[in-house]
Amino acid sequence: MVDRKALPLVIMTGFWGVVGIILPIIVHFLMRGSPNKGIVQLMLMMTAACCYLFWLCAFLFQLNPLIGPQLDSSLIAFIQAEWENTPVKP
Amino acid sequence: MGALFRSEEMNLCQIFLQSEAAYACVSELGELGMVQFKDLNPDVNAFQRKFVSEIMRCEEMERKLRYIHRELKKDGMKIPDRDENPKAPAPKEMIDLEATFEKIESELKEVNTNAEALRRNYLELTELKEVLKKTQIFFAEHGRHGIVDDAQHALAHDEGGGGFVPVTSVQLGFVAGVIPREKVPAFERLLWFANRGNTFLKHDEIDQPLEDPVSGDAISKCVFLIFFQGEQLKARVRKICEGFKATLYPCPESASERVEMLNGVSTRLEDLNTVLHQTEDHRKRVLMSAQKEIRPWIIKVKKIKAIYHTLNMCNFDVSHNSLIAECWTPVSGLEEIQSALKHGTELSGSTVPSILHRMQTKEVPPTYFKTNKFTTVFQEIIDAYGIATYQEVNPAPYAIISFPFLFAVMFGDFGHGFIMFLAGLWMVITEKKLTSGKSDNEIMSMFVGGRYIITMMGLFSVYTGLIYNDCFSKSVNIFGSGWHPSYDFRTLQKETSWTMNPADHFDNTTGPYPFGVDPIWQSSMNKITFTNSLKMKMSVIFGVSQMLLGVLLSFVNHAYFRRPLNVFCEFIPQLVFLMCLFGYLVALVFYKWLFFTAECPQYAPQLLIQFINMFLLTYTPRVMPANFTGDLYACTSIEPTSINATSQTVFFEHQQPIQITLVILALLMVPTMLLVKPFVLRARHNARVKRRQGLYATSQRTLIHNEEHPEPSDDSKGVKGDKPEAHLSDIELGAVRGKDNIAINGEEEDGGIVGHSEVGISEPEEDEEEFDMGEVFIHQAIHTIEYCLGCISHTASYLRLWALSLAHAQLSEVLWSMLFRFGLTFDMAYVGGILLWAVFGAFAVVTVAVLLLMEGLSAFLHTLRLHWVEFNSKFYMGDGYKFAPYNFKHLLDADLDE
Repeated sequence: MVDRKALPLVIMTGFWGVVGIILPIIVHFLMRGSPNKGIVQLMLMMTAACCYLFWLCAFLFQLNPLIGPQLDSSLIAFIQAEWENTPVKP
Repeated sequence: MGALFRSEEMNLCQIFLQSEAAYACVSELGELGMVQFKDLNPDVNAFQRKFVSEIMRCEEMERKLRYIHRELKKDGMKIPDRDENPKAPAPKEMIDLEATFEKIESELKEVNTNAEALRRNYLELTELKEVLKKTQIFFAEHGRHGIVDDAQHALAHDEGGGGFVPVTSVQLGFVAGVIPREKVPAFERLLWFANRGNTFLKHDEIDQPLEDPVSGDAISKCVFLIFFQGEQLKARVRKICEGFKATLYPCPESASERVEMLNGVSTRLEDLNTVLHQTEDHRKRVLMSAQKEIRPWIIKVKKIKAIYHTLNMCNFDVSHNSLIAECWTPVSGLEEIQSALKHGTELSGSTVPSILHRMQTKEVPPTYFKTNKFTTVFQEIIDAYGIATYQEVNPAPYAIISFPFLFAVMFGDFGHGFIMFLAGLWMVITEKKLTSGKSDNEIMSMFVGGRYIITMMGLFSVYTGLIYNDCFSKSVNIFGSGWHPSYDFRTLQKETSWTMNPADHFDNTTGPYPFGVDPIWQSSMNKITFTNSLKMKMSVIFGVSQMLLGVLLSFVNHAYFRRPLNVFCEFIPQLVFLMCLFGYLVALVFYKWLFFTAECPQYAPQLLIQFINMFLLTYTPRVMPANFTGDLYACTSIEPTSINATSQTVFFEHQQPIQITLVILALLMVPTMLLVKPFVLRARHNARVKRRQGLYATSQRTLIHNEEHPEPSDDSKGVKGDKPEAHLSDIELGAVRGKDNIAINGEEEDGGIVGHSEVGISEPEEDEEEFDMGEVFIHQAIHTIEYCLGCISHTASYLRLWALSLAHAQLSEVLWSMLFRFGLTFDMAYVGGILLWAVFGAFAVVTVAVLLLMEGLSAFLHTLRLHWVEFNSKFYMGDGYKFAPYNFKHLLDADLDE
């Protein structure tokens, strides 16, 4: 159901959702009298929106790549030897 | 909403101050720092104002203080910088202050003149002593007769005759004196030429330099002796000495007299020295007593002067013996101002309270934002572009996040961002120390002023650096790469490099790298192709988002100022135009990312070409071959030629009708923006004119006259459809005139061009001339063109986000591979370590200087431009004026030289 592909999506959406939606609501009650309440809420929401969008662009861009990296042959040999390299099932 | 979203509500107040209480009240208001006084006597000459004599007295006091300050500086005594804030003294104490300053000034002047005279005396005596000493040496060396012989010999040299010349004792006179050393050669030459060689000069240097009494400089002088014969030469020699400003001293002939004189002079010199020291001590004492008090004095005098300047701006009401002041105040501060006024009245001992009275006015109030130390710097960045119009939406709170974020997109390096964050954090932690002292270094004070923004920029750069996976141009592999090469050894040996195929080597089940760019790209050769595509698309996405935010903020403005015409004629067409074209582009980007995989790389759509074709309205459809089941537009491994699919063909169903609709819709918005508003304004203006004409119909006869002649001559604007009933109904408008005025006010804010703020009973001809259809049209046309072309050009302008991040990444990589790697690959056993240490030093210096400072400044500038031009032009008018409260705080840096 939840394959590994979707896991980062869920986690990041959840994290920035908390920062951008839940936290401002909490701040609304915690900072009720403060004159800076609106600013703090706006900052939280904008940070969440910008950072989430930025991560999402990078993630979705690599979801279905159309080109692959061009590597030096010796580097490929090294990667195959050193990195955890389970071959892709076609 | 909070404090920063809109400027504070201000109102114009009148303050009635009793004459006795006026001074104290203004002093209290100055301490409070919340009112901006208006100058009620703008056309009065500065010398004709009421309190000009007091201000003159203050200026005189300042002059004296400046003198004392200069004397303190001359002695190198520093003014202690205690954090005190003395209140302005009452007018009666002013006299005391004046007396004190007068006393100190006269004492100092006296001491100075005395010291000067003493020093002059001292100099003369010292010179005399030197003259006596040197002449003693002269005569002692050669014996009196000896030197006279030399002189005689020299003087008698002309008279020819070799051999032994009988020594006739010629009566030689001599003068002794002192001359500055530089003038000696010229002096000698002139003496020789003027006297035709009949004088003999002997000179010797004084070893220690003497102090000039006036300036205190050290001058080196020489003692000279001139021998001559006869009175004429004596006169000439004296004149020459006068010309060269050489001081002559009477030098007795006999040695014993000289010794006596020398002793006398020495004693006198000692006495003089003691007196001189005592004078200096006295001066020091006077200065020290002034040093403690001078800073509060300066502040007090400045405050008094400021108070009198403010009082000069008020109107003097003779009948009630009170001063009337007009000032702008924020509504939220009224209570504090009332209490300050009460306090001032109490202080002055007056029984009549001061009255604060709010006025209604049509003038535009100043713009005031309540900022704290964190938000100040962001507000200043926006203010540098233009002060916000009164109560319009303030871009500053959005800039708090968007500015550092866009900077970080361009700066995007984890290591550099972290260093920047640490630098900003250090400045924030030590901010008390850094902001309290007055720093002369302007650059440092600029950095300290921007400490919060630097911290935020560093923090966001850390985040974007993690996403770009770039840390000093290296990537980190935390989660495991999504690319798994599987070449066997023999294949690898055939070629030097291999391009991995996503179908074979990309792990689709585990998915892409979960956080950021996959680390394998850092070491690949086609890294730039990959990151270019990512960064360009990201730039466009963020650009369109920020512009959308700008357009939405303009809606907030229109809603607040109640301009429904603008909502329908400007906001909605703008929004539709932006979203139809560029919002659609962003949607296409996401669609391509989600639905096109490596199975169909040949016909994954090329978005740029597709976008251009959208405007050119050219479409190449796919062909459905016979016996084709399934989705024509899905991304599967179908032979592309069989369905006529390339990267430029239609790639989703109904693409053609959708895109044509969008283009036509967007194009329709242009005339909407251009034409609707001017015509609506014109219709409104004409209706207004018609109504006003009806109001001036004073008699029935005029009405009937108007009825009979439906087109009156003074209506040049040609009100169409003029029905007679309209005039009759206009008479009833007497009751509704008030509403008319309000409506006119509201509309005037719509038009922005029509009329001025005073709407009263004015001549109809005046109003007609003010609605110039041509001007309105031009204004609207400029606005439309600016918006439409701006949309396109600004979207392209956001590509600088890509350009600068590419430049930064490349610079970083070059620095690593050219500089640091050189140190790492150095193949020497222990020396290599030392060499690496030196190479690291160079690497660090260049990182900070080029990558942090230069690139940081560059990215800052571009982010600034993006905010000022691309974001602000969507909604910001920025033609307000800043609230400049009457505040004593800036007088606290005791600097007299302003």
